[in-house]
Amino acid sequence: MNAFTDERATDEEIVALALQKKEAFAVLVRRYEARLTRYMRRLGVFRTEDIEDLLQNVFLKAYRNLNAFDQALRFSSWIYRIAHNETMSFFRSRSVRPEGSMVPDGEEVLVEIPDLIDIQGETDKRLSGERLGKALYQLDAKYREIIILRYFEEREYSEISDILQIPVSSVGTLLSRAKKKLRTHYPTPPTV
Amino acid sequence: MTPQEHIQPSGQEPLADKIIDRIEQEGVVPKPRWQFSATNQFFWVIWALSLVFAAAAAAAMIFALANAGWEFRSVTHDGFFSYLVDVLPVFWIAAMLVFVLLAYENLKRTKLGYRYPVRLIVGVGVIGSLVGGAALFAGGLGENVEENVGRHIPMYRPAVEAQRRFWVNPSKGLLGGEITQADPEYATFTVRTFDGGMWVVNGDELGNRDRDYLSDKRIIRIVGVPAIAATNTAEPPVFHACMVFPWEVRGHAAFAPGAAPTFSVFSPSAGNQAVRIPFEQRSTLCKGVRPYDTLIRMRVDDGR
Repeated sequence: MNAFTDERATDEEIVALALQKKEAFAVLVRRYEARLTRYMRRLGVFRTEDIEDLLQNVFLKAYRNLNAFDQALRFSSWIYRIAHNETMSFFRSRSVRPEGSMVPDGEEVLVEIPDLIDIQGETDKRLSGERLGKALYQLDAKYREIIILRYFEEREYSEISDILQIPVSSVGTLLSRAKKKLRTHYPTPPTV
Repeated sequence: MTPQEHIQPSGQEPLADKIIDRIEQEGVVPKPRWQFSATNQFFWVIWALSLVFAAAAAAAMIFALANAGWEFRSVTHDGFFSYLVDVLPVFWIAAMLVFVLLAYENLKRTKLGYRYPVRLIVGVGVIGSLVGGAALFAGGLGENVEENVGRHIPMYRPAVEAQRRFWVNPSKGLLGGEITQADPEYATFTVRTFDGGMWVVNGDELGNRDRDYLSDKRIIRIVGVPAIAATNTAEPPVFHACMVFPWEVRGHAAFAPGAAPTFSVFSPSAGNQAVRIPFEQRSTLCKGVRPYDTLIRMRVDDGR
């Protein structure tokens, strides 16, 4: 097995290899393809063709700017940042806002999020993906992004800071506001 | 991974292969590291330059404030608001803030600049500029910037120039300028005002402190009343002096070319020994001078 196909190598090691041999970059593409697809869907890109185009742009841009990757960051934060920026450019270029936020019913976060955002009245502590998706959709983009990164992508504050390129202290403030907003937009379940 | 997360329908080329194919076909190569490093350094350099300019603006602002004639505000102006409008160095305050914001914008564009909170960057920028500005002011650079740069700004009047204009207002009892000739006891002396006019000043009623200033300084400011209008253009008008204060420029640039004032050598004329008027025989002219009470208080506060 070639060094650049060794799936046990760290992202940072593969970046160093990819600068020597472009084939090694395929390992990073395989590692992040599914995660970035899920992330883009959560941000509101639904069409498969759009996601594929975006992914190609993200990975080509990452490869072109591989020397800009700073070892002070985690590679995942860096590639998420590129994916985030590309997705936002996509929305701007199409002059559309996200069509919603896809939260499949199978998402584990649906069990945990009522506690995380203190939503009252959820007796079974399980949210419907559709209702949460609607609530997320009503949020401003900056609030939706941070909720998705923190609770769906399970990113640490420092990683969110690196992805969104904002100070860590702003992550906390923004997240707190986002949770409040989400609470107000979350539809009350019908009483039986 | 759930089925809906797959973007690749069966039979299609895997994304990783597509990316590598495109890299090969389009000849995509990583940009060299030096480009990113140069860009990053460029923003740091602009950040540093912005702070230097902000400090220079702060130095000019401090110079303007230090020479705003705060202690004479009730003498030169009718109200505090009009005083503020005349002396507040709005241009330099704005220039300092613009450069601090420029520094912030550039720092934000450095590789990890986004990690610093706005308040921290702007706060450090403002404090750093003020500290740097104070150091430049102490070194005399504030005057250079304020006057030499200010001269090229439309509608801007340098602080010292503005003070000179305030003090060439004889009808308001203010006279500022250079002593060109004087009697030994300063009973009479001649002053060339900042605008070039000549005045004969009657100093009969000046106190010891005023005479100290007259002997120490060549450039002075006088509070008094215009006494006798000139009967013909050949004779200078007469000004009755009530109080004399030194003309000082704080933060003066000692080595600035052309900044040091040049005066004719002061030499009190011999003869005509003036007899100072005893206190009880002094006129009441000075009592009518509007800022007289304020000036008397200044003297009392000064402990003399």
